[in-house]
Amino acid sequence: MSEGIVVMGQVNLFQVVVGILALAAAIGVVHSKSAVSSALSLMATLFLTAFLYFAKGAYFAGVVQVLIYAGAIAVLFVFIVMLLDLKPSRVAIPGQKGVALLAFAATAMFVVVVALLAVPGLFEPGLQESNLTALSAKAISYNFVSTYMLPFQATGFLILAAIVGVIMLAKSVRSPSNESRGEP
Amino acid sequence: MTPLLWSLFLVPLVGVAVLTGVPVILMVERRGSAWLQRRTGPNRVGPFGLLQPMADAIKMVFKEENQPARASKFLFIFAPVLAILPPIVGFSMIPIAQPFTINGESFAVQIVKSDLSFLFLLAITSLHVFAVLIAGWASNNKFSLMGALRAGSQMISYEVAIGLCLVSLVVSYGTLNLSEIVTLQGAGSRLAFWGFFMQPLVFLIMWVSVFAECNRLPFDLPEGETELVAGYHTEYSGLKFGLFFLGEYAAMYLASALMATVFLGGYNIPFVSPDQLVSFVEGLGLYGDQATWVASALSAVSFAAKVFFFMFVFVWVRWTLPRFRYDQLVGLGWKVLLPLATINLIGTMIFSFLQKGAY
Repeated sequence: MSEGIVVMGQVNLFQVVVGILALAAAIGVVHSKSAVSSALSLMATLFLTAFLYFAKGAYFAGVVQVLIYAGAIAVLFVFIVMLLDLKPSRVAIPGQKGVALLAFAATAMFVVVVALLAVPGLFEPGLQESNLTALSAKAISYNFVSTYMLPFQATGFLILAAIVGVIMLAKSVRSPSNESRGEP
Repeated sequence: MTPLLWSLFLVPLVGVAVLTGVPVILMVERRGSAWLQRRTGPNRVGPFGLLQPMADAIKMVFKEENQPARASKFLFIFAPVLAILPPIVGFSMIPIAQPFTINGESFAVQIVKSDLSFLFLLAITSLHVFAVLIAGWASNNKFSLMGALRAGSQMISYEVAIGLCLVSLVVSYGTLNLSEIVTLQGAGSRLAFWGFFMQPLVFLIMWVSVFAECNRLPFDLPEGETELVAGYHTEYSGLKFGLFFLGEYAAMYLASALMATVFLGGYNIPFVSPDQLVSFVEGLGLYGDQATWVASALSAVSFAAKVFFFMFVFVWVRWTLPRFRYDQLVGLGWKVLLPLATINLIGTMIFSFLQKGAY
């Protein structure tokens, strides 16, 4: 087993407890009947994951996790779900077969990712534990605009494309006839 | 005493200080509003009515608590807890007074001494909006939900502007460490290093945004009485309402403390650098460690005065300006403050690149 894998470093009691809580919250995301509880569980999962980062000494990653994911993106999820006021019956739930297929796909993906991480030397510069903990905010930001400039910009472009795509999808749902019979 | 022990000792001290600050500002608010409106204000309980907040607190504790029949039970109780936690935890990042020494060893008056304290503070305060959203949804009441949604969109909108402002500040200070930021502002006993003089536009944008972030008038749309009864805490009574109340004022204190820290030089006394303060105290006949203790206490008083200035402006503005319309509020955030903050950020980046060169 290679020593550099974040997932498999030394584990203490704090990490175990937080990990179990995070898993419970993650189960809550899929298991909740109401969409709002689901979104709140998602927020709890993201928040608890940040504690795992803290426990590993990756303070910057942890803080950014809370700030961006728990503090901004999860808030937007909760906000939108509340705004739309989805009733449990109106949420489309894939059938028994669909759930099994999705679960299988997710598990397979997880296994593949872990297997790739376990190959020594494949992700040498990015994911070594010592790399993660030693980096200060300054070093991380410096890397963003020097070594990893291209991936950084590419990710930004990808997100922009996703936003444009979301707008297109959201627009196509609303037909003009629906719009005219809005509120009285 | 080890630094860890000192930090642990500071935790209850700071917590109690914040929670005692709330009744103080409450009294200032009630008597101040009366003064601004040419009324008398509460003056019956205790000398000059000073015990009024205590009477309010006792009333809140003993009041009957109602819970709507179809409210979400766990979330209904969880929301007030979430309302009070982030503002108080946030205070652990604020440097409150200048460091003092015991037997030559230096102790900082700050609970969490991290290089990322600025980011930590932002991360924690960004969770405050959840309390409002959860409270509004869990109450199972239309007015509550509408108040919560208003609060949510308002807080998210203005958080963006605040975030950009703070990026400008970080660029000009070159650090994310709040105590380093304060040290930089105290350097050379010149006011020119204060955030207020370095980034006046950011100061203005942030001051306006903080009012929206704390749901204070003129931006208290989430609780607009004339439209929404009381907004997200309509269904709350007794001590649960008290926690929301406490959380709101604690958030105001935290915002004031942050503004004082990054714009007004934190615990520094104007025109006096920390070293000069220590030598001034030594001139009074105290030496060594004791001089640093007194200097530290004096700087804490300076910090408290700055925080209180912002708190007083909160009260002053609340009783002077009328409430905005909701579209005006959102328009101000997205169409005025955000572009201004962006332009300022770009300007700051160019300026600091010309000044310091590349990293």
